[in-house]
Amino acid sequence: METLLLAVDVGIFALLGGAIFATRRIRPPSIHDVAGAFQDLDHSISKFVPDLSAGFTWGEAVERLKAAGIKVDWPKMESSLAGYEAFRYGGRELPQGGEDEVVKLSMKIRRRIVGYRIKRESTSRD
Amino acid sequence: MDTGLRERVLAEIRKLVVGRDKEAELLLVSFLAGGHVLLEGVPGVSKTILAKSFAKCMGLEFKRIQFTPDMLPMDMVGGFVFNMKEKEFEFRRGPVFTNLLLADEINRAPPKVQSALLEAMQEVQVTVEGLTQKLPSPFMVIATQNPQEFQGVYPLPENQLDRFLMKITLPYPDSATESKIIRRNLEEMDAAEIREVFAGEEPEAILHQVEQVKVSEEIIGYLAVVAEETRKERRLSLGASPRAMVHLIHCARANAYLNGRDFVIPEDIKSVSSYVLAHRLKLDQSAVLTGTVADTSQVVQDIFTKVRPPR
Repeated sequence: METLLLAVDVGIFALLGGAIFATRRIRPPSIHDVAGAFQDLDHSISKFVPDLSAGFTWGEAVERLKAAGIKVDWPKMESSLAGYEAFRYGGRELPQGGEDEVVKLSMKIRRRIVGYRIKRESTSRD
Repeated sequence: MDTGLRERVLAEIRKLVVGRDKEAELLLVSFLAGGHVLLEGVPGVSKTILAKSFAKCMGLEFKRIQFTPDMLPMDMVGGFVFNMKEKEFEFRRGPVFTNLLLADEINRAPPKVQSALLEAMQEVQVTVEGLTQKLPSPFMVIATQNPQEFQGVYPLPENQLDRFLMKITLPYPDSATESKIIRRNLEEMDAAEIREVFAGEEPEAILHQVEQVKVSEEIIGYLAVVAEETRKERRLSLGASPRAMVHLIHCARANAYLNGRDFVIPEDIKSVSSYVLAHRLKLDQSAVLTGTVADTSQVVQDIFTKVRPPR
């Protein structure tokens, strides 16, 4: 009996370890500027946030991800977004730096834990 | 960019009008975009007081015309009257010569009067017996109509609706807002409490700044795709006109200005799209009969959900 329980324990811990390893295996992509970071974030949202439609805007995405309780430095993230939008739509210079928080958000979404949380939240809202 | 303008306008309007912040903001967007507004709502939902308060805080000359079925175009634009002293005909200006004209119950006026007003809206001038007179600048019309009236009314045809930059529907207030309205009306209300938010020539300067707001090629491309989608949409029998898209980009510019930006982002377009587009579109009869869609606003939202903006 004890051996059986031990085997079950080992199995559970192995599964847990495997899951943690799988999420950590997703390495941050090599991103050098804020424009690349937002392209990557766009890809992550499109793939892993099912309730944001193809027509989502950055403002809607930020609102949605904030509501999902994702912990990143939101003021920093919004400042990066303002700089990126000025570059993208206003013809300004691409701001130097500011991509770290965007990459962090993108990684959190990719690690599916967030995706699961968003999915669960939207299901419970329905 | 005047980021505080919206707050200053809303603060003044709130002194008299309760729970109409969104509608007041849309009036401000229309004003900055140089367009006219159609306010739709049942009687007593503060259409007139909202328009009056808006005119007062913007420091605009305000006139109101109550439209009736027996009205003539000259009641609005003016006409020639004989001056006994000078022994000649002289032009007497009608109430349309103002900055902000409230055209109350526009759908009760006969088509001749409606088209005279719509000509004034489009050309910002009126012509009476060959004499063309420029209207004051800025010139804005806020027309109202009651959706529940069916007798003795002349509904605006599609081509005339298309001249309105926005159609804003005023719903009944919720119970909390209604309580506030009742309480507020028990107290003494004074329109004099509303102060002008501008000083001197400021409105003209602001309108000029709004015109300088940048629109990127990608944003224009995004609008073109949206326009095409409205025309391909099976639930619609009439899609958005090029004028509708021009109006939409003007509103997006005004929205960008109010948000302290000198460039338009997709959010600026999306946030005003229903108010600018919905009244110009026509639902297909089969969609109406099968009940697949409630109204054109829903179709507009669906299209914007589907079309990918430049990101």
